[in-house]
Amino acid sequence: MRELILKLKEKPDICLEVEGILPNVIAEKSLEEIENLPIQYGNKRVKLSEFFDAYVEKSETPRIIFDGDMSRVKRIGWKLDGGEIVVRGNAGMYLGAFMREGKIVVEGDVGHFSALNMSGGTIVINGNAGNYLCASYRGEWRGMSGGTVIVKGNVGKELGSYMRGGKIVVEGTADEFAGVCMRGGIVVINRAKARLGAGMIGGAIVVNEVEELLPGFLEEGEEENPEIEGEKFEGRFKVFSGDHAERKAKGKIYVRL
Amino acid sequence: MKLILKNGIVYDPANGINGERMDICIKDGKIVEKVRFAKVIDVSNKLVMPAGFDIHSHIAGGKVNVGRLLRPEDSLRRVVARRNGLRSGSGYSVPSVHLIGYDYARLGYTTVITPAMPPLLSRHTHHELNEIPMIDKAAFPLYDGNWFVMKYISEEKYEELKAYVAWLLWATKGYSVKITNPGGTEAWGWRKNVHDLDEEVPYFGVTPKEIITSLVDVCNDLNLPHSVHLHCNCLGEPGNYEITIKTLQLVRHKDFNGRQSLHVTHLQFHSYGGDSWKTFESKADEVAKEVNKNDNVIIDTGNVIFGDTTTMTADAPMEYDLYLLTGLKWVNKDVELETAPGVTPYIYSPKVLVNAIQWAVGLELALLIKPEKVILTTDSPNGGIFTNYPKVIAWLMSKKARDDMLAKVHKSTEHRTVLPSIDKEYDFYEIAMVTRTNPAKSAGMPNKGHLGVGADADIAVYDINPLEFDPKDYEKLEKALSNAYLTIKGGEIIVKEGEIVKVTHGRTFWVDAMGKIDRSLIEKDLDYYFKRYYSVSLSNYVIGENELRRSERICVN
Ligand SMILES: [Zn+2]
Repeated sequence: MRELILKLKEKPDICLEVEGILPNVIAEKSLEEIENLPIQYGNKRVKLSEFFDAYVEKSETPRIIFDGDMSRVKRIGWKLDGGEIVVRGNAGMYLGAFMREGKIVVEGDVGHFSALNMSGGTIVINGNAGNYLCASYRGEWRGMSGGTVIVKGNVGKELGSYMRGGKIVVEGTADEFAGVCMRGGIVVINRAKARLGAGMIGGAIVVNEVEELLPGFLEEGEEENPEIEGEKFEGRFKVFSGDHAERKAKGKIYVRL
Repeated sequence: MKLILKNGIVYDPANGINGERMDICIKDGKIVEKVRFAKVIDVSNKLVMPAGFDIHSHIAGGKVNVGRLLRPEDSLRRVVARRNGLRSGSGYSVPSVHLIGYDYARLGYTTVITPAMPPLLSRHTHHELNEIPMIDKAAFPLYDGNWFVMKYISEEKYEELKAYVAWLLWATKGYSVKITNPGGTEAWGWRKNVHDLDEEVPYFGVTPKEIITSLVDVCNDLNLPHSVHLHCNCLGEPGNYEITIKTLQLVRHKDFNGRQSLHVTHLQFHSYGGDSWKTFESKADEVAKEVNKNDNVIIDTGNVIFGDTTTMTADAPMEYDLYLLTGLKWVNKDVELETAPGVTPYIYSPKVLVNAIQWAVGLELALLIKPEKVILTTDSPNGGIFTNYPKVIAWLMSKKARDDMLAKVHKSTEHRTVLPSIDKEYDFYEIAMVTRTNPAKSAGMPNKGHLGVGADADIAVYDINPLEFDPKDYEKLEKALSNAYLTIKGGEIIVKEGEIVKVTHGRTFWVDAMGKIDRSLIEKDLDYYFKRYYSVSLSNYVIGENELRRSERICVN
């Protein structure tokens, strides 16, 4: 097993796209082969080594470490199918999009569309996330279906849109339209802004504080230490069902009292 | 360019050639008797047929583009980079413009008709057709919910109707008369539909039956190369086979010299029994019986392929009903004075009984109707995208292919269809008929769909020996048909071993019947309707011939 460390030489003036630079891809390759892997720079294909210094070390699990400010590096862990990726800094858009398996840890912030249509694995974001975290791809009504995403900071708009399964935890604030059109899965948010769960017909949202709820949500009573989507939560919650603006809506919002 | 295709095994039903080993000579874009000093290509033991002809495939226009806009996620399913001088593109069920041309060429098809052009959107349609490379094309303008048509029929002004039909073909650079859910699309403007041939359209007082028969007569009187192209009422509804049979019977005695009087399209969607989704069943056998008896009808199948696709028709009420079933996103559009299209995604699942029956019905029709009257389509992309034709061909040619699929679909399918009991397997001669000869004949393009002297040198060669074909080995067939060994278009090699080697731009065929009518009969009405109702002026409505990249005007007399 080995670990690949990629140090960004300097912040690129336009964004890089590193689709295909995955732990399972580099596992069998020599350093030279890795350095020659193609990445996208604007409309040009360039070699990985043009923008990154690469080092290989021994490790327990296949792992790639992106070292430096990656806020202009897009598609880190795109379609990740195993192994681990660590970003020592910020990451750009589409981090972990279409990810199926494995783990990604980001020390800083991540850009928009991260964990898009994710189906498995784990992502931990220690900073903030942009809009459309865990959302479905544009136009897609079959969104995130599995995996876990944990954000220590705040997230942007439309968190987990069209989500069908899996779990999202936001320890900070989620901007408007979190859980929009959810069909399943669970979203746990510390503080949520307005239009929470708009159009949701399944799944559950658990919040400590919410700015306001849409009129499509009906109060169903209170619950003590409820079990939500197979998980125990401690405390007292007010339970709402909705969004009854949709037909046959079975979504639930739990607001902590 | 001069070419000889040497020693291929040729199927050309129009000329009675059934698997003969022979040479095909090509000169100046045409098939010739003999040619000297030509480049010789050895195609020994390979399957040689006229190039494919698709008479019903939604490849351009408002609906297709709305489909693209509605489904960005469909674009993501297939992304093709630019390479070898080919344009990039994306889209699986609604591919971008250039991919459509490339895909058809690779399949060995070189002529495609887009079958539902709202007249008001014909400029868009033609400009899009102009950009589709590789193939010859044509478009059928829609006449179903047209106010002029219904007005003239209700006032029994037959000569005016004739004049208007010819004028609209000329104005839109269209090829023939398409009717979609006659009367239903206008009724939809009032949140209604029509479910019977004698049901009146609100405010016009005409019936679907009158719309169909009047337009059939007009097409015959004008001697148009193609007949009325009809999408029947009640598409997709349980029990619709009855209205379909009644519709077919309307033309039993309407004989016409040299061609059918009615082309009924995607018959699969119109051959259902039962009175609800629970009792839904195949009535393909009943419908096939009527088609076989009826000398004035030709049909295309509209086969269903399992998977995710985008439905698009000029039948807005039907698309709305489909949306009610699936709950997925949908679009309806009102095209002023003319028609009402709709678009919504659909997933055909083998585990859903209704879908499995639909799959079986399409095959039953092709297997039960005489091959001379069958044309293979998937109503692309409604039943599935056209690149799946090799799959349908494999099902038709191999009982084993059908049985293998039957084993994977909903178990009750065998009780609701007769497919398991059908042993017929198509041979290559019949396949050539339903994908080449018949569509060209139905469309009335005498230089297409055959390899006789004088025909356009549009030829497909596939890397499979038809004389050694074993129906059990259907996967090999599917593979060979998916990537033509050679596609020749107008005498030029455009595809070689599945790769596009030359990008060409085909012609757009349209029909000019203005010589057969008296335009002054409708001048006043045109003026009035355009001033009073249309949002465009008459002069901006008409498509100039110079707007077609390569215009091919067919004059009728
Ligand atoms: Zn169609």
